[in-house]
Amino acid sequence: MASPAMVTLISSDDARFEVTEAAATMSQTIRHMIEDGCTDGGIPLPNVPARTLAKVLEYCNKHAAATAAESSAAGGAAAGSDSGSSSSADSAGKDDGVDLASFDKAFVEVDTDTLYDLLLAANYLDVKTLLDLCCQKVADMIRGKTPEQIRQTFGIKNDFSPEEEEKIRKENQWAFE
Amino acid sequence: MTISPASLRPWSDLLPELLGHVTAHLPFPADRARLRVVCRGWHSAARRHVSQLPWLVLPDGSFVTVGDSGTYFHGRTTIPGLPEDATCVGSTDGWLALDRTDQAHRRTTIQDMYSGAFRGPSGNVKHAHAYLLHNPFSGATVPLPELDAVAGVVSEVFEERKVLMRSPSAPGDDVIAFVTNSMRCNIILCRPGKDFLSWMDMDEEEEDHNDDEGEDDDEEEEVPNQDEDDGSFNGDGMISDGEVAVQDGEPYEANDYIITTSKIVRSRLGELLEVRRQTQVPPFSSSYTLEVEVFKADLDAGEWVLSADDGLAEDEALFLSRSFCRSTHVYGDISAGFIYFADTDDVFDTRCRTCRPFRLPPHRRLFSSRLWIFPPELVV
Repeated sequence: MASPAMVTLISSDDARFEVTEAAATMSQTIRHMIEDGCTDGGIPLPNVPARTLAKVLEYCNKHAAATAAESSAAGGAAAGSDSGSSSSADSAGKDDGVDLASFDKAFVEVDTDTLYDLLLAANYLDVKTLLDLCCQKVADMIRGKTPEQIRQTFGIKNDFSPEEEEKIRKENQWAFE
Repeated sequence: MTISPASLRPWSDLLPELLGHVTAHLPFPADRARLRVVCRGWHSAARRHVSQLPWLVLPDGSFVTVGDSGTYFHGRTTIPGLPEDATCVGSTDGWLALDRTDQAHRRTTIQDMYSGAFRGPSGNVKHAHAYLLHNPFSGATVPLPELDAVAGVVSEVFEERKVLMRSPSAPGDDVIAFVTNSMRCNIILCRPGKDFLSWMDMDEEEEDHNDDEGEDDDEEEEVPNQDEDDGSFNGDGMISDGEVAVQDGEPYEANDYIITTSKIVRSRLGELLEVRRQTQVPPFSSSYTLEVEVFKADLDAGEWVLSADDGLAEDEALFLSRSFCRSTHVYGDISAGFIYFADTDDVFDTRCRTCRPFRLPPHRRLFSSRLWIFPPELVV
């Protein structure tokens, strides 16, 4: 097999990242840039700093590799040349699924600043599964909490006057009982 | 988990559509109600991006929120307080009717390990059942020992077709109607904490159950007792088909792949509506709605009258499913004059007379028997 196509990504602070095209194109934004042929000299990503981009690429590399392993396992099973090897590929695929779920879970165990940066980067780069993962994590951090606890978690200042807040609470009083 | 002392990022200015994505993962209205109190930014984001439509609940307790921000909540832990062995068999507004049983193929498909065939129910095998009502939004639970006394041990082919409450706000004082596929026990009425009344044992226990519920015309439908073996259901006497298929002439021409069904629902104004629907059933893909007509009951004339207008009130929408049909006023993302069908995932616009699919999140497989459940209405 030929060595995989590589692309260069350039973060907002001019760090360069060499990644496989399969990993990079998990981002729809980058996919469109590659399709438009804007890859000469690297793809600039002016909204994403190096620290965040490194983290996003860790996610993309892992998922792109898992997708590749899955499709080659499916290809082996479809060919059906050797039932022994295809069943072992199957079980490897299943392990990957478990592995990927625990990778995802660990991946978003980060401080709220990092989570915020990831959320914005996933949105800008349009990596659907990463965006879902980050939104799910934020939702998990909000679920069951009072407004005051949510503010503490995310460092949000309450900018309502006490009267305004009381009025908004009253609109859905049942949720605060 | 790492909790930073104070986030330096401007979470209060989070892009409104991103907060919309986040709320898609927070289906319970109570969480959304608290979220919009956090700060001005989140309050205005919630106004624009929190969508509100009823949910579809599957027999195993998984559920989906529908619409553009629809999300699939898979697994039994997604509804807090749902017992491990519960199957969702019915709904009324915000309440679920649960059947606790070890008969797992009611809530999931069981495939034979060797043949690969799906395991079907057997009329000769019986399981124990315990019934209860559960409101996932308030956490309230109402056990139904009265029903357990009638249908606590039934064969695998026994089915709960519908479970409906008269006044879902106070089920403790309510009459709950169970419609089953058993000829001998087709309708069971039960009052939590009080008594039950079923067609099966009306003759024998009439004195014990003075019918103060006003069962006026019930006698006509009474199924005579077939034998004395109360409460034991085997495969005999089960009603095979749940849906009423209407087969009259035009415009409902006979066709192998078009079926006509009807559902009866009480309108917001208290009238009785019949929604008659033609569904195309293509051989190799999923069914969809072709045509819908709404009839009103003319009680004096004793007939169904086709509505000249769309048949729905100005701010009314209908949600129809096999087990539970409801008319609602329009709020959140519910559109006026729309009829939402749980079985075909489509919605019919009675004003423009067009039908389109409603958005469901991607999922592997959804059961055909899905229940509409109405979360409390949120002011946003």
